[in-house]
Amino acid sequence: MRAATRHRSKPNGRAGTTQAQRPSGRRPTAEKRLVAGAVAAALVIYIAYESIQIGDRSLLVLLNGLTAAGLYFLLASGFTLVFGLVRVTNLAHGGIYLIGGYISLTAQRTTGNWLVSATAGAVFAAALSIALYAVLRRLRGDGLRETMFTLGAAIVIADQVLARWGGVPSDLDPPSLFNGSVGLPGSDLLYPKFRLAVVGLAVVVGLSLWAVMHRTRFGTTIRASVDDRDMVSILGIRVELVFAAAFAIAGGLAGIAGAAGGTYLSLAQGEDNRVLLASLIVVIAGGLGSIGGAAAAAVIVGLVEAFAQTHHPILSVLMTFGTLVAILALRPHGLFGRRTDARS
Amino acid sequence: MRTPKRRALGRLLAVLTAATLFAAGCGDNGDSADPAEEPAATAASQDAAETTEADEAPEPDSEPEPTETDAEGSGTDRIVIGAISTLDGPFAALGDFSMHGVKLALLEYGGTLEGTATRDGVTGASVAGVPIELVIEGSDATPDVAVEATRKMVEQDGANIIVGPLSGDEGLALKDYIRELPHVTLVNGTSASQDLTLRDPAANVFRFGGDGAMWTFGVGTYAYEELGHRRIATVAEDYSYPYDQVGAVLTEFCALGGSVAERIWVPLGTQDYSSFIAQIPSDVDAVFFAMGGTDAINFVKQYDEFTGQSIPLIAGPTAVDQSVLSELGSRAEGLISSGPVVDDAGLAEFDAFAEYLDSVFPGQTPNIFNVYYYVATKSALQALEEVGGDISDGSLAFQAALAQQSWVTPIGPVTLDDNRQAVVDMYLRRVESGAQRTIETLPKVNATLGFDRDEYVVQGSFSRENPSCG
Repeated sequence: MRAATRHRSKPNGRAGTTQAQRPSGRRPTAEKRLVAGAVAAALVIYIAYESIQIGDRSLLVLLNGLTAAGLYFLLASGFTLVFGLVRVTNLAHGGIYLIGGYISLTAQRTTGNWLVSATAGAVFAAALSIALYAVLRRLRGDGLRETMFTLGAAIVIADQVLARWGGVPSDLDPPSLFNGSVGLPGSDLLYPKFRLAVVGLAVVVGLSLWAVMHRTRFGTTIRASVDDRDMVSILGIRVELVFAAAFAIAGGLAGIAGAAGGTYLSLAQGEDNRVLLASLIVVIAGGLGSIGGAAAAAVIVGLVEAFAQTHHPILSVLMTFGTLVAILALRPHGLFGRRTDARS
Repeated sequence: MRTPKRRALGRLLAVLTAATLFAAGCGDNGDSADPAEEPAATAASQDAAETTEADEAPEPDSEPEPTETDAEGSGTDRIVIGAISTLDGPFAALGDFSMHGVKLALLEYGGTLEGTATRDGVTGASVAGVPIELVIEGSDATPDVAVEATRKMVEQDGANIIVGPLSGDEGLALKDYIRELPHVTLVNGTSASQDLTLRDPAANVFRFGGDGAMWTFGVGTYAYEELGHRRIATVAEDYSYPYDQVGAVLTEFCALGGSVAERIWVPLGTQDYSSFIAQIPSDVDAVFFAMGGTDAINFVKQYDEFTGQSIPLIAGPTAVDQSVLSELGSRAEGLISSGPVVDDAGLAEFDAFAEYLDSVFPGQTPNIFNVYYYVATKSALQALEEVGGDISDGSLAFQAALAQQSWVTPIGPVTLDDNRQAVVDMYLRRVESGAQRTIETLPKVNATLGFDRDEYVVQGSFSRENPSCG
């Protein structure tokens, strides 16, 4: 199975995550297009239906969905990158989000600058993520132990956060540039500038990731490692370093997400589990290992959640999972997922 | 590829996983999180284990009262108080506050703090010569974890009195559990579901504070008569305690002729309220919101960002409790609410309590949680004192004495009604400079908010749709 995957890779290394953006290089193109079209059509119909019901508030809800999608993408892109490379379901991802946010909070209370604080949170989260990888690599190949370790790390991180910052929820102040709200056309409601900035941040991160993955040697190495780790290491590339870098990127993104989420939402006990669940849903719906899939799934989940909450709040959780079930029923490996190798 | 050794390792891991999941499932109450369990608790559980062995009756239902086995002929040789609050999860901070209250009461009875951490117990307390032991357990605000933690305290630690729990649905679950154990007494902490005492009460469940409806007493009337609101919307968490708050506000508001445009129910623990805020009709006079802890902070912040508070907010009691006021900051200024604790009550008992709290736990100020857990624990200790620390009759005399408790707490006088539910003062209040200032004291609020008891009870429990309000 693995060999088959390899053979279908294009010679220029445009495999792996590339497939997300460029489905044309793969065999089941027609099916993929059909599914993508069906999902998109269903989403558009649902949103249109809800919009008619909500009326003038629909722009607001649309923006809400995109904001949530932005945060989900920041979380899920790193998660899926790590999974694609190392095949580890990092259950400590939510914990890294939370501790990154709290580090940013402390930094902001010291420096008062949001950007500096978010960077501090991201750097800390990246370092923590590398530390996790340093332990994980000793457990290589034993999926059960790897997952157990990340689960244990998640619990330790949550308790450390509780001990260090206490259980009282708190939040970061938005940077002065994005403080306050703007009026929405056609509605008496305002929209917080920072939420728009989160959408922008997610787009910038997404484009940067794409650029790194497709326009740099480092990205090529990562994509090659996703496809065939052994071959890459035979070529003389230190795969361990590539993996560590991927963990660092994932951790850094989670740290930035923590700072962003801690600003427009808040930081509190239990948030780690909530965002872990959200990113799991997004990653599974998008296809494990696919960054493009994570982006698409983040938008779908974010929009469905926002519109469902507006109209049937009690069913909103059900709607989110229902979307996941529907996607998996159509495409068992997620929107842009590939059949993963069952490694023994 | 897999060697037998690795396979064995795999099997071992599978067993370990199962064990860990099991521990995570039933030990979420903190044993796992706290490797250095308090010596007091360990000692207590050993004692309890011996007792159980001797009796050979581990089932709680069939178990003869542990107090009887403890009582060697005359009286009781020790009394175990089990305190439960939310030490994990979204309400973890509130759990800390509650335990402060429990410990303060025990310190008044000769106890010494074992340490400053939440799970550090109190040793050396005694009532009428009978030593009091404190066992602390935590839940994560879910009813099943609360019941498991309480079951552990009763069955393994031999707890005679349970103080707690913190949240509404936990209380209802514990009532059903404790009802089957007549020798154990539940003195409620801050669980504020009406039906803990109002409907189908249990003989061994006591509440020395208000419920969600009582805490919201007077707000609906004030909004209609003083603020001139005629049409409101409500936003509240989707479980029993907020039902009671919304129900109480609407009962008063609608009886006067007001109407409700929209009742929006949000899942507990919602982070992003933007889509719910979008549903608030733009033509209402005010928005009543009933939430706790993190939810209140997120909601007020986002409501402020999305609307600039163009439609005024009216708050539920815990949404603007002193425990979250500092985090709400300037956004909470001017919010009207009703509730049991104000910062300017002018009661000598309140000032003394505030000073005492600050001296033992520096920097802490009175809030619903530390005050209520203090009042609950102290009421139990006072009743124990009256019966000479003797609960060897299956706690009957103790429970009778507890039902008769009548004293001036830090937040005003308390007495219990026939359902063992407190009749207490409430305060209509406004947030000014980060503190709760009294607008009006509402004396002796009872469980039926002054309405005729039979008529009130017959209306049924408050729910998403009840009261119908026109």
